[in-house]
Parts: sequence; C-alpha cells; structure tokens
Amino acid sequence: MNYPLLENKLPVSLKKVWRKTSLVTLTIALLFGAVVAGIFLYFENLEGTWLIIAGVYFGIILIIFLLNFLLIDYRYNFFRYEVTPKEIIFQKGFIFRSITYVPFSRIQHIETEQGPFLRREELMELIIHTAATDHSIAGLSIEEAQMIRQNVMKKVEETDEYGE
Amino acid sequence: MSMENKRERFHPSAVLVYFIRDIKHWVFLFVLFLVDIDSGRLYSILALSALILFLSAKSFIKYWTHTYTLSSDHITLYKGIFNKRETEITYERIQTVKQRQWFFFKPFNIIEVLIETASTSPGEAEASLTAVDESIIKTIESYRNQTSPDLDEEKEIEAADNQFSLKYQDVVLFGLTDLTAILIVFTALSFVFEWIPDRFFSELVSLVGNVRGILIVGLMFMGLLIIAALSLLKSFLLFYDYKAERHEDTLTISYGLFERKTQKIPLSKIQGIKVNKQLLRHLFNRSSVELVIMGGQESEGESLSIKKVYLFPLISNDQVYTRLNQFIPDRAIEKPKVKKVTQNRVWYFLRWKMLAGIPLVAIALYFNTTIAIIASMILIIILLMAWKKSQVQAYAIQKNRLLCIQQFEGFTTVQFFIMPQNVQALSYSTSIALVNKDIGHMDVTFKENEHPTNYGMRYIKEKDSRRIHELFWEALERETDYVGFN
Repeated sequence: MNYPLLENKLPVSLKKVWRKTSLVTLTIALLFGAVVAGIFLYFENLEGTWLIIAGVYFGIILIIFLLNFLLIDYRYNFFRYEVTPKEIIFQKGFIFRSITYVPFSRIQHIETEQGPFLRREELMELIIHTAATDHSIAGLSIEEAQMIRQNVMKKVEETDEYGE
Repeated sequence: MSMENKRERFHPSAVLVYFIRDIKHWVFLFVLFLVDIDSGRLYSILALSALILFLSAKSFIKYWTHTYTLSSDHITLYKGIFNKRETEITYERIQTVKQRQWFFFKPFNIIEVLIETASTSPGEAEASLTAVDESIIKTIESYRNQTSPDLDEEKEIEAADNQFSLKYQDVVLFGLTDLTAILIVFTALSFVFEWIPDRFFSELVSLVGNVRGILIVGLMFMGLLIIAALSLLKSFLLFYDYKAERHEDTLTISYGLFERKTQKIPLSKIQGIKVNKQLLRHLFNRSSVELVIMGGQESEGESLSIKKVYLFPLISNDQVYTRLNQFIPDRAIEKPKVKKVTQNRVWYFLRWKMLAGIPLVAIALYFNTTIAIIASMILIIILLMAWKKSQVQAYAIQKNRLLCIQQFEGFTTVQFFIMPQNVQALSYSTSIALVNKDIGHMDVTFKENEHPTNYGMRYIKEKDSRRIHELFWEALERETDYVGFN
C-alpha cells in the first residue's frame, strides 16, 4: 500500500538541526556511560556482569544513534502537516508512523518554541494544545510559524463563536 | 454590616468529620499500636491515647477556625490561625455542586457541600462546606441561577422512566463479583500473615492432627470467605439505596450508607459512556454502565468513594440500551451491531508478548522448576487474554455519528460510546512493517476527569480506519462547515 503523505513538508534546514541534536545526545550519553564506567574502574569493579552491562549500554547507544542519524534523510520525508479549513493534521514518524487530526474548535492555545539549534537555522517549533493533548510541528520557518499561528487562531475564534 | 457578610461556623458535627478523616490518615499507626497492645506494653496504650487526644484537639481547632460566608455573588471560605487563608469562589465559576451526608448528619439535617470549579490544578480549587444546613444548597442554587437561569433544579421529575434504583440482590451480586476486591484482599491478607505469630500456625497444625492439606484448604476457604464478606460490606457501604434520575438535562446520582453522596451531572458534561460486561457478571446476565466526565471528580481521594462514575452499577443485559436512552436521550444509543475487526489476526496480538515471555520462562526453568511453572502459567493467561482481545475488538457507527468501540480489558468486554464533538484528537498510526500489510491502529483522545485518555483499536485493516474516518469524523467536518456558513 502507498502510505498517504500530507501536503506540506518541513524546511530542509531542519535536517541540520536533527543531525546536531542527534550528535549532542550521543555525546551526553557517552559521557554519562564513561563517567559511570570510570567510577567502577576506579573501585576495580569493572569485570564480569558489570562489563557485559557496560558493553550492552554502549552498544545500544551506538545502534540508536546510527539508526537516528543515518535515517534522518528518510525520516524527514515523513514529518509533514496540513491545514485544512476545518482542522490541522500532523504526520510524524518513519519506523512508527502516525497521523493525527485536531479540529480547530478543540484548540485551547498555541505555543512556539525555539532552542539554540533551531534559532541558528531561523526555525521555530509550533505546539498546539487541546484540553487533553499536545501536538507539535518540529520545525517551521519563523514567518511560516507566525502565519500558521495567526491563521489557526483566527479559525479557532471563528469556530468558537458558534460554540459546541 | 449586612447579614450576608457575617462569618459563620460549620455545624458542630464537623468536629466528628475532621476526626474521622484524620483517623483515616493515621490508620496504619493505629494498627501498629493495636498489635503491640497484645504484648501488654504500657507505652503503646499511652501513645494511642496521646494520638487520639492530639487528633481530637486538632479537630476542635479546625472547627473553631474554619468559617465561611455566603454573599449574593460569591462564597468565601476562611481558615488558619496564624497563617490565615481566604478562598473566594464566584458562583459563575462553579462547575458542579455535590453533596454528601454522613449518617450522623441525618438527625440534624446537615450535609457537606462540595464545590468544584474548572480550575486546572485538581484538588486546589475544590472547596468544601464541611457541615452545613441542608437549606444552604437551595440558597447556593438560587444565587447561581441568577447568572445561569437554565439550571433550574426545582423541575418535576418527568416520568418513572427517568428513575433507576439498584435492587438489594444486585448490591449483593456486585459485591460478590467484584474482581478488584480479590486483589486488594490478597495483599491485605499477606500483610496480616506477616503479623500472625508462628506459634498460631504450629498450634493450628497440632489441632487438625498434622494434616497440612486440610490446613491449607481450610485457610484458602477462609480467605475466600473473607474476600466475599469484605467485598459485600464495601458494596453495601457504597451502593446502599443507590438512585439515579434525570430531571430535564441533569442527571442526579445518589448513593452510600454512612456517607451519603449526591452528584448532579449535566448531560452536556458527559464525554463518553462505557457499557461494561465483566465475565462473571455476564454469567448473571448483568452489565454495568459508567460515565466518562471531564473536570475534577473526587480529587479529594476519600477512601470509600468510587472513582468511577456509575450510572447503572448493575443492570440486566436486555434493559441496558433502552434505559440508557431514557437517561441520556441526546446520544440516541442503540444496541450496537458491531463489526469484528481482528478475528483472524491473532498472531499480531501474541507476538510481542511471546517474544518477551518465552525467554523469561526459559531463564526461570534454568534456575527453578516451580518458578518456571508459575511463570508459564502467567504467560498462558496473558496470551489467552490477548487472544480474547483479538476476538472481541470491534466497532460500530450509529446514527447521530456515535462511535462505539468494543474492547476487552481486564476480564471485561467494554463498549465505549463517544460522539465526535467530545474527541480532542483522532489519530491513526502504523509502523514501517505493518504499513505493507494495510494494518494499523486508531485512537480517539478525550478528557476523562483531569487526564487525557485514549481509546482505540489495534491491528485493524486500513479500510476500517478509512470507514471510521468517513462516517464518524468527516461528518463532523460537514457539521462545522454548516455552522461556518451561518
């Protein structure tokens, strides 16, 4: 079957952000592992079961990193969104995929967020809150984010007037 | 100056309420002391009396310092001696008003009034007038109605159709078929066994003439009796004189023996409806109906309150849908003609459980045969449940765009009914492997009490998801379309 893909792709520069985030996460996980292993080594305890556990830990980190890093080009294609007259649709995930529909009339408020990597690429994350859930678009150009935010807020107000 | 602004104290019986609540908090300490009394130590008796004295003093001080005023536009609660606190609640902000009556309130016509607002922090905004005259609820309602005139509580009950009461034998049946009770009692029993001295067992063994088998069977039988008795007791305390009725657009539910509770639920606040057919209860041809409601329900966490909001704790299977229609007419629920969706995809439900379970059993077998047998029995039960889940999973879309999802959860077949306007988000998911087989999951997200909750179906065919999307979800779009052009 061909998996349906939504209309709007995210900006290409988001790939850079993902690569950096992936590298930073790897570094932090490796440092943490190294410190713990160092402590065991200091007390001359790094042998037997502990050595196996350490090996498994570093192995898992590397596998996750490689999957994450190498698949960025593929994953990128599966992160999309669409704004229809009635609702906003989110699509995410390459290995585990999901599409979520949120009607405007359920939206409580909208947030934008910008971490250091996103700021460098002049991107923003858009987060939409309903009474029960949060949904986010991982990265949008600043103009686009502002535009969607205003559009959505306008629609939320329109649908709100008629209430439920 | 005016009468309205005079601070009033609660009825003196509030002292007893405070005392009982504190005792509930300290119950473990009491058990500890009581067990020690057996050994005849003086200090534990002293400690016990000191604790009781301390708690009574605390209750009296609370009674002395907690006051309230009612004015035409708000309720104010005062508390504290040094650190004084005032809580002001305007009538407009009140979501629901609940009342609760302890048995010792009855002679004085006293009730406890619980006020819920839509505040986001649960527990914080909920105010309680611990012991006040029954007439106060009318005063509050009349003040409230000035701002929301549609909430008229004094309407006549429409017809006998709109009343439901739980029969005596159904209370018994509810208690005896309560599966959660079995779990709770087992943990309680294991705690008790810790405290019983070994001497007791050895004496018992000599009494029955060293026949261990009889002893074990006897203990198990006793355990079962205790479970049944406690469960019955709980069921009676909770569901004594259970009544539900509908006046216009408001449901009123009242229940309880020592602690009588009354809850008013506007139909529009109902997010979803669950019809539960638990295996044991199904044998007796009974279902139970639960309501899913948004807002801070029972955030106080009293020990003997039902966290679930039952509409019909037990009702005979052939009545359930007609009665539901009388109580919640706006949903127009029919007996769902469900379409089973995963009957021939059992493998998907088993595979991860087997992948995790079989190695564990193998490891257990390596170390200890008994543990391995127990582990494999648990695994078989888990797999059987998963198989049942795959056979039960189904859906139906009814008139009025009402979606019914049928699921199997913890020995219970649940039919969950929800309307599109109560769904906060609808999502479909799949994985890189499943997508080639046209298989995926669907979930509706809604708000239950304070928490987001999911309900959905696993491993369903893509054409079923698409059908749900068209008949259930797109219909919502058409409706907003219509509204938009108005």
